[in-house]
Amino acid sequence: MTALLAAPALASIGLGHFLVLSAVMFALGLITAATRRSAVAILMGVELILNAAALNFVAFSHYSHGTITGQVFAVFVVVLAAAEATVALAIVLAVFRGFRSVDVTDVGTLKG
Amino acid sequence: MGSIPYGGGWLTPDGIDAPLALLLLFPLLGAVLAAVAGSLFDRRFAGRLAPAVAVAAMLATLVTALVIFFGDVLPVGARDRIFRQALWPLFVVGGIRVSFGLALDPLSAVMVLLVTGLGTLIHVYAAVYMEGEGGRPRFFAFLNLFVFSMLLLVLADGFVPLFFGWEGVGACSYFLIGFWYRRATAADAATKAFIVNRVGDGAFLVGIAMLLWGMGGVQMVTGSAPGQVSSVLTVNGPMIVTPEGLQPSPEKRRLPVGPTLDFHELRDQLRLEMLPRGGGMVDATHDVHFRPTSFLLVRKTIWHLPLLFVVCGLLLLGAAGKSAQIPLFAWLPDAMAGPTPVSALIHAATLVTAGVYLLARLSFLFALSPGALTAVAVVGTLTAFVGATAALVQNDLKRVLAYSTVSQLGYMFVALGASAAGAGLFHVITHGFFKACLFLAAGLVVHAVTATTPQAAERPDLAQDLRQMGGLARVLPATRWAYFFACAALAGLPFASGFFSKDLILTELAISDRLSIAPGALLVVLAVTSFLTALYAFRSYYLIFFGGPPRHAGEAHAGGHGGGGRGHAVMTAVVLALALGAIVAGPALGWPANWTPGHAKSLFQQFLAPMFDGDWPRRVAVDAPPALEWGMQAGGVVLAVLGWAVARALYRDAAATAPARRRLAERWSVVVRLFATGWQADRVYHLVLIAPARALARAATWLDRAIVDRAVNALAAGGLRLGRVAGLFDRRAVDGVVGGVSEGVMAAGRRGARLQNGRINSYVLGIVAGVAALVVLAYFLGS
Repeated sequence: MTALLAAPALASIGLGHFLVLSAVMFALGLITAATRRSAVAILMGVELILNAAALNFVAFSHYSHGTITGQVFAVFVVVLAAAEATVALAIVLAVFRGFRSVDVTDVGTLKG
Repeated sequence: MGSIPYGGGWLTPDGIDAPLALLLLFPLLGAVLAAVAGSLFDRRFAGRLAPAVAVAAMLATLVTALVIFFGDVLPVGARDRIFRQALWPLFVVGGIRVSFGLALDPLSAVMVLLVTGLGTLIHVYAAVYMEGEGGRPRFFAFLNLFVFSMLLLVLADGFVPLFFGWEGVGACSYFLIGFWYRRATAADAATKAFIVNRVGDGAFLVGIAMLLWGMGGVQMVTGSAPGQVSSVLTVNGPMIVTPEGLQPSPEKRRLPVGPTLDFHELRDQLRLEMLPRGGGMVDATHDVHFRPTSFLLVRKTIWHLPLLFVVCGLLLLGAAGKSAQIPLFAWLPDAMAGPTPVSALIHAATLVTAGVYLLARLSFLFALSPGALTAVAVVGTLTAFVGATAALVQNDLKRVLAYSTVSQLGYMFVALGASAAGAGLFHVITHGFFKACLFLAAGLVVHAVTATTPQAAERPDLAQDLRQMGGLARVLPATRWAYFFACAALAGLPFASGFFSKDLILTELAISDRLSIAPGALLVVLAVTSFLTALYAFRSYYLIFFGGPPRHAGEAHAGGHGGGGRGHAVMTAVVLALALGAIVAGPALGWPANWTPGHAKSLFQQFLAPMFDGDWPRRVAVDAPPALEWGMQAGGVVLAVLGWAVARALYRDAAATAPARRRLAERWSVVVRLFATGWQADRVYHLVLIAPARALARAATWLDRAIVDRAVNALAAGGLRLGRVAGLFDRRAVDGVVGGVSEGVMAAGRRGARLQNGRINSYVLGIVAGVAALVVLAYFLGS
């Protein structure tokens, strides 16, 4: 395990790589949320954004020594995401019952 | 009310209350009733209602006047004869309180009796004379209103009420002269009378204003509240004769002082101030600061002339307008276009005596200015002469009489100029009688000529033409004698009334020492005028009643004009009554002093004495020496008889002397034309008044068109242009801004509405964009 950690190939991975990955995930989530018409897909995009944020927390927590606040925050984010998914999926289910569709463009009853 | 004989009664007593308004009430009521009831019920009473109402009103006025005169005026002591009735306050300006009040003193009493007496007779005559004429309610209403205005004029207790009456007679004369308003001559004559009178009235008004200014204006005297009497002067007196000489009595008298428009207050103040100092008569212990009115008035100058002279000159011009004196006399002959009773009323009783009355009323003021007295005397003399010469050559009977009035009024002015207002007033009375008689007789003559001359119906002037008359003595025997006696009175034949009054005037002029010029030249002119007066009077008499075509007694009434026999009898009776007055009034009232044992003044002079005795400065010669009076009377008789004789020789047999007279007239044609046109008065008016007025009008028109109109037009064009620019600005700029703002809001709204499309995707994009913008902003600002 130590050898693995000490491997020179791994040694080149730093905070920058995590942040780039996180940014890519965020961007993909954002694009998903902004472009997809299906409510479920949008929810998936939102999950991606949340997880990108959580990854940032963990990465910063790892590279800043002596604190675990970031990792605790990541756990919170996971819990929050689960709760959010529960509620949102319930809403999506209710919408589907009412509209026979989960396409957000079809759900325009409240539009003035 | 106590008797206060101040040093000969030169201060006005307090006055006694009397119902003077009754004198005004009756003619006013008569005028209203005659106009209203006369118009409403004209047909039911065959047009007799209006004349009946008017005559009844005049009778009531006459009875009231007689009751007041004999019941109130005569029983009171001579010095206390002033009766007052305050009616209502008019206005208050500064320290002057002007009220509408009536006062009856000997001067106005004489005028009231004259106006009501002659007015009643003339009304009776007119009631018959106007039968068959249209518009009688109008005629009699104005006739009564005329008398009302004249009574108001003579009863007025101050300049302001007097001015009401003054304008009233002017307006009534306008309406009555223009009674036949469809005739161009009548309408023109009325307009002329009115306009000429306006010239005089304007001068009168300016004169009053300058008099007020001379007294210190209307500003308050220190210590007095507005509307209160400015100040009160306590006077010691009256002076009483004691064994030690003249002593002031313990009785005190309080007199208001300060600017005033009241005749009696003004007179008392002037008399107090003009009193010789050191006599101990006046002890001015006064309540508040006292500035003697007359001190200002007498010593003030304006345009380097004494103010009093200017004021009196303007008042003289006003009086000249009413009394037909030079230069404002030419309206009177034209005023003959009115019906004959109107002429009689104007000439004998009302209008023209107003000027004489005004100057007599203000004799205390004129006495202070020798220049003004001289002007009055000169104007009177010239007018007497001009009037007599014009009367000599007129062919229209009524114009002869009109110029005769002008001439006789000149005599009255001479008397006023000679500080002998009493003599002037006496001539007013005698002239009133004989001139009313002459006019009313002329009315009968005109009726008779109209009845016997077929063409007269179309040409009313023909019936008044002396050349159409002649031989009327057989038709109108009674009228002929009345006319003769009136002519005798006019000419001044002995024992006729004109003899007494005219010689009194000439005598007073001869002894007058207050004039700036010697009275000799005036006397000569007036003597010539006396001769001319007799000449023109008897000329008209002989031309009317002698010679001419043969006429018959029945002819005059054939036309039925004048109401037939009974109406004719009434008119003749009136004329005879006036002729009797013309004969009797002179000796009864004006028996000359030199014919009485004690050289006592005549009744009339004694009655009027309190009015004029206190005028100051006094004439030195108060009484004429008997020799002078005898001489004047003898000279007057000689001239009158001479005039009569010449007239008799020339005109008794007009047909026989016609060639000789024609040759005479041709040789002197220039003079005849001058006389006939009233010395070209109309041309002078044209040059002096009408031409400048027209030139002014033309100049004003040019100014109006060329400058004012152009300026107005330019202003309008500028306004239009400005309006256009403003409109453009409004439409482009203001509307543009307003519209732009609203459209911008609308467009923004439309755009903004597009954002709220209900698509979550785009909302998300919006959020992303917003956050990105914030991040970018933070990046740039955060550093």
